Formats: sequence, C-alpha cells, structure tokens
Amino acid sequence: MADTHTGHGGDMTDHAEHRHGYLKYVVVGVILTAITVVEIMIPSIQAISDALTRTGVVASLLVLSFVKGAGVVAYYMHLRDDSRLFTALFMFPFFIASMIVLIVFLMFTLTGG
Amino acid sequence: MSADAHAHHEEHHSSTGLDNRKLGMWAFLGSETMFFGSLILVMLINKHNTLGGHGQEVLDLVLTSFTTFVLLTSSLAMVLSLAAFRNGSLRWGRIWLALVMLMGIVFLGGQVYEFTSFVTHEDLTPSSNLFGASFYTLVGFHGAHVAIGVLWLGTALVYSFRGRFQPGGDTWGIEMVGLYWHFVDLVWVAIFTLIYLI
Repeated sequence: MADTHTGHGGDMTDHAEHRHGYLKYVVVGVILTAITVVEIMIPSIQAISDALTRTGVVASLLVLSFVKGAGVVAYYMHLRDDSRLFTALFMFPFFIASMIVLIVFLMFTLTGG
Repeated sequence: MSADAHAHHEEHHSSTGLDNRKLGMWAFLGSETMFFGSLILVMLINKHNTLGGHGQEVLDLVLTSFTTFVLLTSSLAMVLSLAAFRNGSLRWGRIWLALVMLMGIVFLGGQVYEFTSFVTHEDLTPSSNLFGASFYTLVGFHGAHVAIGVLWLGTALVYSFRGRFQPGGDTWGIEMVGLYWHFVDLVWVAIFTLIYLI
C-alpha cells in the first residue's frame, strides 16, 4: 500500500512486490487465453475431434472450462487468498447448481424427454 | 489522511470478523450462480428443440471466439486496475478501468450484431422455437449483466475523478465491481463452452 512506504529501501521492496503481483495476473491471463485457444481448436479441427471421439471432445472441453473458471475465481477474484467463508458462500451454490444441471440433463437425455 | 478518505476507509465488520459488504457480495454471486445454472440447464435441454428451424448451426464461432477473448482480457484489465488503485496509482487504475469499460462495450456490440444477424438473416427469434427462446433468454440475461457492469464501471470511474479511491483510502468500490465483472466473465466461460463449443 502506498501509505506503508517507510523509506527508500521500503519503496524498492514494495515496487518489486507490485511488479510481481502484476506479472502474476498477466501470466494467469496468458494461460487462460491459451486454454481458450485449445478449447476452440478441439471441436474446430476435424483430426482432433475425430481422434478424441464425441465423448472425449465433451469431456476435455468441460475439464478445460472448469480449469479456466477455477483460474478466474482463484486468482482474479482472489478467493485463493481470501477467507474460506467466501469460498463456501460461492462454492456451495455452485455445487448445487452443477448437480441440478447434471441430474436433470441426464434425466432428460436418458428418458429422451 | 483526509476526513473523507478516513470515512471511506471505515470497515464494516460482521460477527464473522469479515467485511459484511464483501460477505453480501459473495452471497449475491452465489445466488447468481443458481440463477445462471437454471438458465444453462434449460438451454441444454432445448438445444436440439428446433422444430425443423434454425438451431445451433447458426452460431458464429469466429465472432464469439473474438468476443470471448475480449471479455477474458477485460478480466485481466480489471484485476490490474484494482492492483493499481491499491498501490496508489490513480492514473493507471483509471486507465485500466476505462479499458475494461471499453472491452465490455465491444462485447455488447458483438452480441447486438449476433442477435441482429440471427433475426434478420436466419429468421431465428425468441418465438421461433425452444432453442431460440432459451438462447435469447440465456445470452440476453448475460448481456444485461454485462451492460449493468459497464454502467457500474462508469460510475466507479466518475467517482475516482471525484476524489474516491485515493492512495491509502478504501478501494472497496473497485473491489466490488471487480468481483461482479469477473463473475460475469466466469458465466461466459460456461456459456461459451456449453452452448457454442459442445
């Protein structure tokens, strides 16, 4: 924080910390973009989608999407360093919503509804 | 620290020892997860309910990939804006915030173009079939959230010029709009994969 600077040495340490913080966010951004590129390639390139089969395509896209979402929540929303209560407040409804989506979707798919 | 900045710096602790404003925001985002979860479920069920009309094949992957990239990058700009404000760099905080707003507007522009082209060229409207109804409801609600986010970002930007978020002061306002914006990005990550790619 700006008001915690205590001197020239402190300034330099803070500056290095700030740069490290920015770099971390940029690295996460690059990784998220790379995952998106891979996600787009999987169903778009015939050779890849043929090799993976339909189930493999769906599974790999879901896993990549989950990793991307986790990256956003953990690093950009700072849930990684924040209170566990915030994590619980967010993850509990997410778990319930995911289960409802999965169960109802499977129900409709299996019964042909 | 001025009296005004001191007032803004005042913390709002709950019995949990946590800031109750942030607690409220996370609870709100949790409820939004349920809301979008139900819309995504309806979309997945009705994905192939086209009544012989247009369905998933009309979705433009090139345009959506571009807007997805824009929204993802806006999340990076948002976190950089918060970091800049926290580090006392008002100038960079404002620049990143304005960029997030701009990228939000570009995303909305892409969505307006997509909707317009579906209605005019593909004759796909919300009343065409269940695919259309579910698609416009889900993507439209997400777009409305982006639009609200853009307005919120604009308000935060104006406040920053009116003396808020000063070095050493409270950056709570930026943190809250940041959480909201990242959540909107998160929802799009799910929509893009489940609706556009699968």
